[in-house]
Amino acid sequence: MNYNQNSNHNFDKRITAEKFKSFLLPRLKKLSKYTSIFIFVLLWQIFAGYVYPRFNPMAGNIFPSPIKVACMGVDLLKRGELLVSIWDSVWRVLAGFSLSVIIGIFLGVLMGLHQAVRDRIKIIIVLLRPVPPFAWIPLGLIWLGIGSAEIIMVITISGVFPMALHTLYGIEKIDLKLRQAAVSLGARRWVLLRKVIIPGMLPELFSGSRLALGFCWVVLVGAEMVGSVSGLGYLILDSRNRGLPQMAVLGMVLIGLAGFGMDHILMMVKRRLVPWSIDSGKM
Amino acid sequence: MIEFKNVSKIYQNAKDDRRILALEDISFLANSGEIIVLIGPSGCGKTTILNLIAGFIQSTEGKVLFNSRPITGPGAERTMIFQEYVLFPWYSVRNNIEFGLVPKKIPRQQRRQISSELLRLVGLEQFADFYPYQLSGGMKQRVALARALAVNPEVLLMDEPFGSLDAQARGFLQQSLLEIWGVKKPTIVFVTHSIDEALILGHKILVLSRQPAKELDWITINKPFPRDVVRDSFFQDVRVRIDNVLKDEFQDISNRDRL
Amino acid sequence: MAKCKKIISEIKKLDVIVLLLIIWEVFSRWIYPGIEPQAKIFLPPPSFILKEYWQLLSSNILFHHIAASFKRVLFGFFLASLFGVIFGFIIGLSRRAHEQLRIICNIFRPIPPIAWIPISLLWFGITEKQQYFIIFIGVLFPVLFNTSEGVYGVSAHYKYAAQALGVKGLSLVKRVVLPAALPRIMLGLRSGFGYAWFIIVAAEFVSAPNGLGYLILEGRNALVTERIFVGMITIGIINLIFYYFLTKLENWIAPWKKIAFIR
Repeated sequence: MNYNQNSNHNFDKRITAEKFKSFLLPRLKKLSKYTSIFIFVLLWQIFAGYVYPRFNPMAGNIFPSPIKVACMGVDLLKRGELLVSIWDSVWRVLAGFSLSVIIGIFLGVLMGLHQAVRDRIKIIIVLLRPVPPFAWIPLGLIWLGIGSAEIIMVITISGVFPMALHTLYGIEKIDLKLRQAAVSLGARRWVLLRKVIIPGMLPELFSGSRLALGFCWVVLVGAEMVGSVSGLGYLILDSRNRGLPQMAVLGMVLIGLAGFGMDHILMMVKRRLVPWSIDSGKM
Repeated sequence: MIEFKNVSKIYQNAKDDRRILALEDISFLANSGEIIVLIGPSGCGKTTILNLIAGFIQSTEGKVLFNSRPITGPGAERTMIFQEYVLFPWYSVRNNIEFGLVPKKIPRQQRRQISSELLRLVGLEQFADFYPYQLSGGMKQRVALARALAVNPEVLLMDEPFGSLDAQARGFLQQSLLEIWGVKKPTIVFVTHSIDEALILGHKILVLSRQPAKELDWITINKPFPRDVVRDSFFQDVRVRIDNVLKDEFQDISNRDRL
Repeated sequence: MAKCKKIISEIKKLDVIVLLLIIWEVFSRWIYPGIEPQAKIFLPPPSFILKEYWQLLSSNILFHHIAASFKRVLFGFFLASLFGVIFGFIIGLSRRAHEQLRIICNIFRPIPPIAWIPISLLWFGITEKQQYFIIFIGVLFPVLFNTSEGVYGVSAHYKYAAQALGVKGLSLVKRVVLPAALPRIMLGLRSGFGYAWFIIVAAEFVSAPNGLGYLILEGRNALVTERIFVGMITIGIINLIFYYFLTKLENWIAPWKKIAFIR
């Protein structure tokens, strides 16, 4: 009797050990990629919560800890402010981004069609692009006043130039040989367009739109800080008025997450539509 | 002298658990001053053998010996010439050639002398101050050759060095290689796809199977240089011998694909 | 003769711009004020803008603002580049460190430097230091990441070739890794510098007593729209000049990787 019980006991222990190795270990390995994030947040908490307050009793007002930030987040969520702010910022970016993509592709295609058109539009772009999008904000304020319209205008401007240029590159890049090969296989104009030119353009279109999206986000935050009364950028600014630095940090974190999220979605769409291209990790 | 004793090499992918057996039980002996040619189907493991001799990787089983001592790492005495040339684009031709001389603490004057001599040898004296991006493929390979010779290697490892050249440049470089070899007689281990090239250059030919690479044949050629591989009937026989062995390898590959 | 032809063809391309400028002038000067009494605030004619430009230029006010912005950009950029290149280099040499850096950068990258403004005001107050900080944050990540990526991505072939020629260790890093990574490092620096000018405008909007960003905002607050245009044009010109020179510098340092000017 005892015999049986003992051996069963050992057997169970071995099963758990095996389960641990096969189930938990690979998942732990995956998580270890994010060690630096955990360590970062941990160090942040330690510094903000324990180390800094020793030197400066007012530390809580200057350097919020991650816990405080999270609490703030929950608080705002309950009051409904959080979702409204996020939505305001997100829809503005989406609107501005979409507009800049449409206009950008339109301009790019225009440029790709005819050399003379290309030269002229290109010069205009070359002259306008070096003006930082933020510099357009006061002009936008005069034209459209404070509010979403002006913000969307500035966002659109910031995204148009990379989009247009990359569309142009996409068109230029389509290997002459590819087109010749397709024609020699008997493809006619419309088919050529659909099956060769558009897929050929797609990778550049996506890298252009990725750039544009990046700009759009950066500009959104600044635009909301200077000329708006809602949105995440405004939330960060408002934290000063309310004397709640954890709100500023919360806003920063949310902006980071939202920006990262949108970029990620864009990349997923890209992988779906353009599986043959390589992701480059440039900043 | 290079010895392979029952060498096997398994590559393990770090990300997933795939293991690839690249070499299976390879043994051979290359005496000092001999030219050994490795020939076989694409991707079979010829480069792996070179990398083992160079010291870039270690064998999983068996021993790789250089002058009776195991090889532990790379060094200038077993230098390598790559198919993609791998010239340093930020150095001029001359500086590329002098590259390996610097760690030997050779003074500037002397370095210049050596590089000038080598430039003359490969016929590029006028291009000493040019940069690699300004040269043609054949010229780049000549610079790579000069660069390797500068460090006076005992062993010259060549990984399909003439593969990306046109037929003329190729023939010219093959003859140049033999001339250069005639001077200091380094041991050369040469990887190629071309049976003709193997016949032109090799003292010993190691014919390898497709992956995992096993020894299929070991041929010794005692003919002097330069060789007439087109008209001499001896070479025709060797050619047939190699072709027979390799034909089965390619046949197997195409059968596999069909399945 | 050929050069003349080239210049003429270049100038021909400006015809649309000249046309647009003429239309703008005519419209905003004579037609628009008839429709809208506040016309000169909404769309001042180019001639008015030029007048304001001349005023600000000759009274040295413009230089004052340019210098103020310049100082901030240079200071922040210099600090961030020093830090970024040195640390990026060290990190790039180790695969583990580089991968961790990548993840950290992915955390911080989506947070625009502008978002740091309010909290930096809390830490530094309304001072020059605060402005330097914003520029620093903005430049640091592109430089750090690109340097590390450049060092990490040095083709293994170069390293193998060098080792097979007897070069290893510190000498390898100095003679092979560094030159090989240099184009990418320069890319990071160029991106960082461009980004600095991008951000400075917004940084000055919120909390600076002078500078081009301040000038632009002042134009809006005082409803002197010409000033806004002056600020925008000036920054545009500065950016253009810098981009041109930085590209030339890059091509001089690494001629084997020519970059087209407009990209």
